[in-house]
Amino acid sequence: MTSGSKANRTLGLVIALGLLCVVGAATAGERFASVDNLLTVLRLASVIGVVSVGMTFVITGGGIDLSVGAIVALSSVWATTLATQSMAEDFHWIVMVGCALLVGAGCGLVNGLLVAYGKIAPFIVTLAMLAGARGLAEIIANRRTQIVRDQGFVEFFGGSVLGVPVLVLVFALVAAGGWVLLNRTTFGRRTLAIGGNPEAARLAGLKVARHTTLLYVLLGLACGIAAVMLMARTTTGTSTHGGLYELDAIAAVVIGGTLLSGGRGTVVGTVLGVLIFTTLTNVFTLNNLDTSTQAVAKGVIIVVAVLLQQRLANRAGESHAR
Amino acid sequence: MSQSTLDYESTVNTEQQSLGKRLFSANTLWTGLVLLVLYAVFSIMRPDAFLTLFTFQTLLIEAAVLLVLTVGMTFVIITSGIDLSVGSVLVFAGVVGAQVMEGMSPGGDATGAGAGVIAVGLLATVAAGAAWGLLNGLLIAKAKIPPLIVTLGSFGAALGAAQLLTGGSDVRTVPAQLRDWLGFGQTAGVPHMVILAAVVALHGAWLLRTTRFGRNNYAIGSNAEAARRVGINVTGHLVATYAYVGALAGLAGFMSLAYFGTTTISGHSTDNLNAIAAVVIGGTSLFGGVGTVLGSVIGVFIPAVLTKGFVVIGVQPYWQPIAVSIVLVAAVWLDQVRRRARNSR
Repeated sequence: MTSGSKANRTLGLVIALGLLCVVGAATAGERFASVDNLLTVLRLASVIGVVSVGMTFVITGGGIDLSVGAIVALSSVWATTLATQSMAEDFHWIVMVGCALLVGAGCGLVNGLLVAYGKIAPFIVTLAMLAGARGLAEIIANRRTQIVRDQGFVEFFGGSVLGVPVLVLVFALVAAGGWVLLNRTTFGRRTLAIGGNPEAARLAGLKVARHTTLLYVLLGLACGIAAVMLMARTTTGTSTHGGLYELDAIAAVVIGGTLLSGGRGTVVGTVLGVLIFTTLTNVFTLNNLDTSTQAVAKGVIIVVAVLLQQRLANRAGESHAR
Repeated sequence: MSQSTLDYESTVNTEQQSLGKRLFSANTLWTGLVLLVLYAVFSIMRPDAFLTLFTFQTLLIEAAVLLVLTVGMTFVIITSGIDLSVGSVLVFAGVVGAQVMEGMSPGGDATGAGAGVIAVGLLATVAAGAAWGLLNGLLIAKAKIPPLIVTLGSFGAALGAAQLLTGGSDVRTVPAQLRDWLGFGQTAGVPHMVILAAVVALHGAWLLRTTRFGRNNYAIGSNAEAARRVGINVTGHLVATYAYVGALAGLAGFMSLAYFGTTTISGHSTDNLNAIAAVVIGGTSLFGGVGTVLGSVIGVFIPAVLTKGFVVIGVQPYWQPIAVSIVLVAAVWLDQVRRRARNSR
């Protein structure tokens, strides 16, 4: 893939986002174009954004993960059980954060081991994890909503630094970290190589199975972070958290220009993809359009965006060949 | 790609063997045995509650709608495609059919509607499903967008469209005659829902096994480019396959209407994954080119028997998804171990 077409793609996404903002400002005026609303959009984008950045790695590495929403639910439930919360009371709310991250990474590890060493198709493994993790979350929570009692936790993650909400800062950190990891480290290079051609990567001496496992652990960790953010935003942990996150995250990643077949990935594209969807929802909501219209529009946009990308990529490929 | 070699080898294997050998090496036999063992275990644990005609009937009825979806899904997955939108298309088609029946009835209340109205409703439901499937197929085969993306898009869009049509609330007036006849009716102890599902499955098996359409389906799934070069109309076939899945989703929507008496808008968000899981447990390869309808039928009943059995022996319902997911992974893993052993021989 040439750097020129990559820039084209990113430019296309920025233009789409810009157009959305123009539509938003034109239809909702002040209510859209305000700092408050901007922060609302960013805060809404942050949770799914963190998951999507993690998803970018797994998809770039040639895999897929359908279980992210379920892992978010399980992490949020596990971190808000009576036992965890009383430990947090005795010690510090960091216990809850640690618990969520551990549970997320643990689920990711199970996914990764089954995919990389069990050699089972990722679609199946994570489909099973989707059902299993959400089932476990329901068992632990007994289908009740668990309230976060620790005020320190809620205040820390609900607060802001220099006017920027902590949730948005976390998203920014994860996105920046993801960008560096994918584009500036050997880990990122290996991810691209394995996604592009696992057999060639293996012959070149890469530990493909271990690396693939790490990718799923990384995504699990991102789900743990997302669970912490969701717990802060809603002050609850329930087994219904993260519903259909897998589809939102995959959509954002693919819209962003990461190849579903692996070997090419862009964190910037993913972040733009998340922002496009969140802004769209925001514009629709400000114009009092219901969620069903949003669902239709979202479906159409997913398909049209990928169609356009393919046309662009084809054209770039042709001019390159000439 | 290592996957395509695997499929190629297993296809060659099945082609060269006699019917008897094929049956024994076939995945279907093993998954069938698993199903029988599960059934036997629950029957021994609670013969009074599990081994009854009523339990058996409800088990079949509850699986009927999913079974119809799964037959279509088998075709799509054999072409190495996927359809995430079946549950949403089911809801959309059900809403269209229910509203058509309401529109034809005096006062918008279809409860007392007669056979004519029901027939038109059936046609409208299946047509609405097929239309959505056709759209999926055109986008996948003509515009060449990956099936995962297209059907992810229609997964959201079809459900949204259904909600737009109804304003978000379920359609609740379903003809009583339809409910009595299809939803709860039975002939000689066999529920009509089950008969309909069995007819669909048999037709699907016939279509896949003995017709040119079915042969082309395998060929395209094994190697679409090779299929194109030997003169198979790949684009046309894919469009037809997705339209077929859509039509079956429509039919499933009609059955769901008859059974539940409402459009159950919010009740089908995981149908797609259940259907895919059933197809895969049944031995169909996600990479295409391999699979049977019979396997998928067994794949529908393994989770169904587990769920029912757990209810009967009193396990907390929350454990069901965990057990089902363990069975799913175990089934696929075993299949791969056997396939590897066979290939190395």
